[in-house]
This record gives sequence, structure tokens and C-alpha cells, in this order.
Amino acid sequence: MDRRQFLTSSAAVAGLSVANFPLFAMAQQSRDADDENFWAIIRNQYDVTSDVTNLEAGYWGIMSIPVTQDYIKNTHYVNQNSSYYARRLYRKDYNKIVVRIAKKLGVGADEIVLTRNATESLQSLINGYNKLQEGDTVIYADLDYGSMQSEMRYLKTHRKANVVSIAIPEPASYENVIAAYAKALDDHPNCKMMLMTHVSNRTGLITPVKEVAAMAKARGVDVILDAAHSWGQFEFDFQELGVDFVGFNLHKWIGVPLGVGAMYIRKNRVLDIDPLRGEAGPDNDEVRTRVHTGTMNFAAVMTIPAALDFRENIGQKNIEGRLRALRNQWVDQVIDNKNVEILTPQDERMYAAITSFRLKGKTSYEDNRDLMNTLSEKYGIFTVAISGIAKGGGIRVSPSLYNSREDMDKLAAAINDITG
Amino acid sequence: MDRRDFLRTTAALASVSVAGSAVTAYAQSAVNKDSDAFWKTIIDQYKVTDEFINLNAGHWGIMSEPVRKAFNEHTAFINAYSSHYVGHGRSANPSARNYNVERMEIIDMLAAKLGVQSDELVFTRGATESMQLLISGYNKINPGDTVLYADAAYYSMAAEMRHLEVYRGANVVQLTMPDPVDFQSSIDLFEQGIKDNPGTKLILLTHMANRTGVIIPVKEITAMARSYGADVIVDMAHSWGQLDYDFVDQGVDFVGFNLHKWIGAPLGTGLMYIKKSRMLDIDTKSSKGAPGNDDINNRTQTGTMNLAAVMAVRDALNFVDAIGIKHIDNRFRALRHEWTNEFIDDDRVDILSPEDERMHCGLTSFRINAHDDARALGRTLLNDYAINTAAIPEYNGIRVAPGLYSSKADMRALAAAIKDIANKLG
Repeated sequence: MDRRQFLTSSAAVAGLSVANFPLFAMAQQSRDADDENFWAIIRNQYDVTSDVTNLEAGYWGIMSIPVTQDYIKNTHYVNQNSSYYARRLYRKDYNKIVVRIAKKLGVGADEIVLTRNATESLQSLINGYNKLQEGDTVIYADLDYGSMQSEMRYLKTHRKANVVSIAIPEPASYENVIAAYAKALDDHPNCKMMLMTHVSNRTGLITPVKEVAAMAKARGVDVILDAAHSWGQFEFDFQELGVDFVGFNLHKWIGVPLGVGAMYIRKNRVLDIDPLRGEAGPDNDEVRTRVHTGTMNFAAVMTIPAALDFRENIGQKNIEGRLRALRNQWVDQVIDNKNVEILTPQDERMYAAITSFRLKGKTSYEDNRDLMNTLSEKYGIFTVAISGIAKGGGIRVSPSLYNSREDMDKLAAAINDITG
Repeated sequence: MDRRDFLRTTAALASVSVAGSAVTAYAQSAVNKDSDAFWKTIIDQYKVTDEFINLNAGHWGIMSEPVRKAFNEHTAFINAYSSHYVGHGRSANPSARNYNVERMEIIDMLAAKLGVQSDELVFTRGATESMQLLISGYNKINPGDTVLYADAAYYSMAAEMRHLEVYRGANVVQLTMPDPVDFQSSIDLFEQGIKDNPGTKLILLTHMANRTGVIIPVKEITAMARSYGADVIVDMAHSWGQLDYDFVDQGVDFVGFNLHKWIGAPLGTGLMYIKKSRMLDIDTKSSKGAPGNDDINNRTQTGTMNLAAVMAVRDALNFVDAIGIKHIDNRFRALRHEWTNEFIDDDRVDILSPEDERMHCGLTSFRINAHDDARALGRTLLNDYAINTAAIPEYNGIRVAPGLYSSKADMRALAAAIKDIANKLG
């Protein structure tokens, strides 16, 4: 092979997609949430341990087999070609991937930059938001992610802001969550910026971002949105949310290799986020100067198209339907149990895959750690104990595409067994 | 197989390190580890493209095949066990593998290699992240205090230093490294910088300059700086793993390392060192942890990182430790001399790291004086001679960074190419 051929073929390899794996040619099923034949085929696309029933997809998403294979191939390719790929070919692949992500979100490619996870995106946004004057109020809620709460509290030191935390009502409803944010804005007329979490990592609650963001905007309050758990878990019209600053994960519900996230800044708002560490002059409005990752795992980024292909072949709407069905499968069996509190309401606008529960009165972290251990030791079900919720901790249940309805039945039976 | 058996099996599998077993044979043999015959056996453990000669190992290190295979296995394992491996799986199943336990085992290995305590190290995603945290976190600067760095610093670290003007109200001063530089002039540069700026509080040192390969005497400069009451943050992104040196002997307190360059771990792995007694002088990341805490883990907040890459650090360490840093250092010098020796008496070509062996190792840049476009020269080397290097326009130079997979023939091919280009320029 001469060098010219090499260049062409490496570009082709880099752009190769795994879209056409045989599964989808074979699968003629309806893909409805209750078409068990179809979802069994999808389950077979995951190589997960049978040691435990893993209901903890909330930490990060397990890669499907085609995605894992693509990742291993990309790792090998990058390792072999090293900086030659990184310096001469990667930028083209990267740009294509960003264009694809931007298109899916309905935004401009110049409004998206890839990061190493939502944490990095949100650190850059919260730390970098430069519209705060001394004494301005910023607001976050108890259901926000712990390290993002910590970033918000840090604004007291960093920007001399007045940092206020509120509690999301429990039980939550569409109206009372909106009312809680409305009250917070009423109580703090000097509020300038607010953190919102699209899907709470603590309970699975989907918040009414669109309504709250519109209300905030009307009062001149900016919303920074933590969308770490939402994109890929359920379908939503991103543009309709009306938010200007957003952190995403790609390694949770999109299913790409660990260590990949994205950051969105609306084009006309880029100057309101500081460039990272003097990376650029004050008038630079390129989103990419708002993070500085150093050398990233190129192979993980190159694998994004394979993960998107896998999902698009199933269909986002189908994925959402299936995840919600898995959630309902266990919740429906315990909802009448007087000793169980389900921490997302029975309102389809407010949950997707993740839902937490609490045994009545068991609010401490220790209580829930013990319950998590019981579920694991006695019933072979892996979940996670959560804390930090105003009304007390719980157990988070996060099913994914590799789970079966039987897995959910097993959990429901365990809960009912434990409560007697 | 029931669950308990399965867990035991995976635990047993885990203790068999792929990299370890692959290198045990030569590690224990009496072979001369500085011989080309020995290095042939190392080169054979890398799969690199044969489409061109890769002399840009400075960007990041290519994984050896044992490390790459181990990384793939870790990726598959983590993907199968997912958060069970990271989270609380172990509290219910004491025999289950656990990331935090294994991560600390690897930190222990790294601490032993450096001669420091395990609670003085934390994983990051690269030296850049470590250095960002150290420079922006260093909290002893009062408004008006001077901070110094030299133009040899990596550009994004220089940007971090400049940011201190905004962030801490510091007086930021950039020094210009003499060219050519020698051992004493590199010390004098920083001493004069301090004398010119009384009350200098902080100095950024780059152990090995990424653009030229020049190694500066960190130990001597640090001792000198300390005598003036200045602290030193050291960028060891390129030195550790390439150069054989006694880390503790350098007497430094704040250091950023890469693991994905010269240690050969997967991309996205680095390390941060803070001397335990100096922990409070670096801010926790966004006020993480209780006020006044001295836990180095609170000085970073990476979110979920590529865990398989961290696990593969063990395999990478096993691979390089079986060779030994002394022999790696010798090899890199031999590879450098294989081509630089051709130009010692050739005025047309400048070698940008001094011949003083304290000041160079493997990575070294050059310039052809009659050629005035480094980027074009880099393209010529790639397109006409199939040699991949890095253009360094700031020095009108080309960086040559061989890896453990490089052969002396590769270096001779480079030397021949440089001569050919110089001859054509007349």
C-alpha cells in the first residue's frame, strides 16, 4: 500500500460505522415496549455479568457489543497511528461528530464542544459564568447533583455571590415543582443565575425545564442546565427547553465509552462564560475555548457514531418507551405497598428509566446503605443508596436496555418481601 | 457456576497481569538490556504502523501490545460489571473486585516508584489537568506578588500562569530561556528573574521542555528559589518515564505528571503530586470537602473518568519496570545520539538540546538553518521521507521523539533525510 492509499483507507476506517450489524436486518418486530422478542434481541447485544442483576445504569451506561468492538478497533487504530492520526485526521472526524450531535440537538455545530463528561461541562459553565456581581443570588436545589451543588456553593468564594438552596417538593407534581421555583425567584428578586437538573440523579425526577426556564428568562435569570441524565434516556425537543448553557453526558444514556460529554452554549451567550485560563482573548466567542482538556481519549470520541447508530437503529422513541415500561414494571407492583414511597410521581412527564424509592421512615444514609446491601446479598440485585434529598435518602433503581421485565419483577418481589 | 465461584474466578483472573507475564522472561534473564538484540524483543511488542516512521512519541506514548490487550480486557470487564465494580458491590460481596481498592493498589505502586507517600498522589486525566489544578489552586499569592515562568513552558501551562494576573492579581513575568542554554545559565535565568522581581512567590519549571527536549536542573533551581522564599511548581509531563532521576532528591512540592506519554498507559491518564506538608497551600477543587482538609483527592473533581485506562496503568508500569528506567534512559540517549551525532560538526543543522548529558535524553529538536518554515519542513519529512515528527514553529525547528518501539535504523533514516534536505538547500 502506498502512502496515498494509506491516507484514504485510514480516513475510511475512521468513518466506518457499525450501523449494519445483522441484528437489525433480522429484527422485523414492532419495537413496542412490550414486544419481548425484539427487546430480547437487543439484550443480546450487551455482554453484562450474570453475577448480579444490574439496576444501576445511572452511574454510566454499559456499551453494547457493537460499540465495544468499534471502540477496541478505534483504540488499536489510534495506538498504531498515534499523533499522525491526532494531528492530521482527528480534527475532521471530530468536526463530523460534532455536526451530527448538533443536528440531533437542533443547534449549531459552533455551539457544541466535546468534554470528558457532564461534570467538566458544568464546572466550566458554573465557574465561568461571568455575569454575577457581588451579592447577586444564585439558586440550586436539593435534587441537583452533589458536585454541581458544590460548584454553586463555591460561587460564594469565587464571585462573592449569595448562594441559596431550595428543596424540590416531595411528593413532586408538575405544578408544585414549577411553583417551588417561582417562589424561589419571588423570594430572591436579585437572583441572576439558577442551576437546574433535567433528570435528578437522586430520584429520577424529570423537572419542567421549559416552563421554569421561560419564567426565569422573563425575570432576567439565566438557567444552567445539568442534562447529564436526560439526553438519551427520553426524547425531548432540546431547542424548546429554551436554555442557553447546558452540560451533557454521552457515556450514560447514549452509551459511548467512558470519559465523553458535551457542552452547549447558545452562540450569542458565549461571551458570558469565561474562556478557560486565558486560552483566548476577551472577545473570543468560540465555544471550544471554554474548556481545555489536554490530550483526550481520541478512540472514545471516534466511537460516538457507532453508539448513535446503535440507538438510531432501535429508535429513540422506542428506547424511551422501553425504559419507561421497565420502570413501570416494578413500580406498579409496589405502589400500593403502604411501606414504600416512590420518589417520582405517576406522571409520564416526570419520569423515564430512573426512579428511586424509600421504605417508610428509612431516611438515613445508613438505613439505605443497609437496604442496598440486603438487595445485593440476599436478592442478587445491584442498586445504589442515595442521600442528600431534603426528605431523606432512598434507593435508586436505574434499568437499561440490557434488563428484562423479569429483572424488574425480581426487584418488586424483593421489596415486597422485605416489607413483609 | 454460582455467583461466588464466578467472583472468585474473576478475582483470580485479575491477579494475572498480562503485561507482567509477557515480560517476566526477559526481566529475569541475564541479557544485556542495553543491547540492540534486547531492544529488538521490546520493539516486537509494539504494533505500530509501517506506513511511516513515527518519531512523534512526544504527543503521547503508543501502548505496547500487552498493555493494549490488558486495556481491552479491563474495558470489557468494567463494561460487564459497570458500577458494581465501582460502587458498593464489595460491601455486599467482599470477594468482588472493587475499583477503589485496585486504584489504591496502583497508587501504591506509583508512590513506591517515586519514593513518596500514597496520600501525596492522585490520578488525573493528564499532566495538563494536574498543572491546571496546581497553578490555579496555589493559594499563597497576594495581589502584586510576582510569579515567573520561562518561554520553554508548555503553552497551556503558560496560559495558566498568565491567568494568575486576573485570578490572583499576580504580577506575571515571562523569562526567555537562553539559546543555546547550559546548566548554569538555566539556573542563572531564574535567579536573575527573582532578583529583578523581589518577593517572587511562585515559579513554574518545566523539567523537560516539550518543544526542544531541554532538561533543566530542577533540583538546583528549586533549592535556589527556596533560598529566596519562592515556591516551585514543576511540569514533569515529559521527564518521568523517559529520564532516570531520583524524584525525592529534586526536593519539589507540587508536580504534574503524565502516565500516557512515557509510562505508556492508555490516553487520558495523569498524576498529581502534592507534598503532604504543603497540601493546604493548594485549594480544594471548588471548595470540595470540609474546610482545612488535607486530602489530595479533594484537590481534583474529574467526574467519572475512563476507569479501564486507570486499571491499565498497572500493566504499563509492569511493562516498563521489567525493562528498568536505567535501561530505558540509556536506550533513549542511544537513539538520540544515533542521529544527533551526525550533525555535531555540521553548521547547517542546530540540535536544540545541549550535548551536556544532564540536559537531554531521548526527545530532541533540530533546525536546518537554511530552511525557514518548520511546518513545511515537517510536511517534507512526512511526504518525501515517510517520517512523522512535530513541527515547532516557535523555534523554527522539528521535534524528534523516538519511542520504545523505535529502532536505530529509524534514527539513521531521519539523519539521512535531514542531510538530504540540507544538501538540496546547498
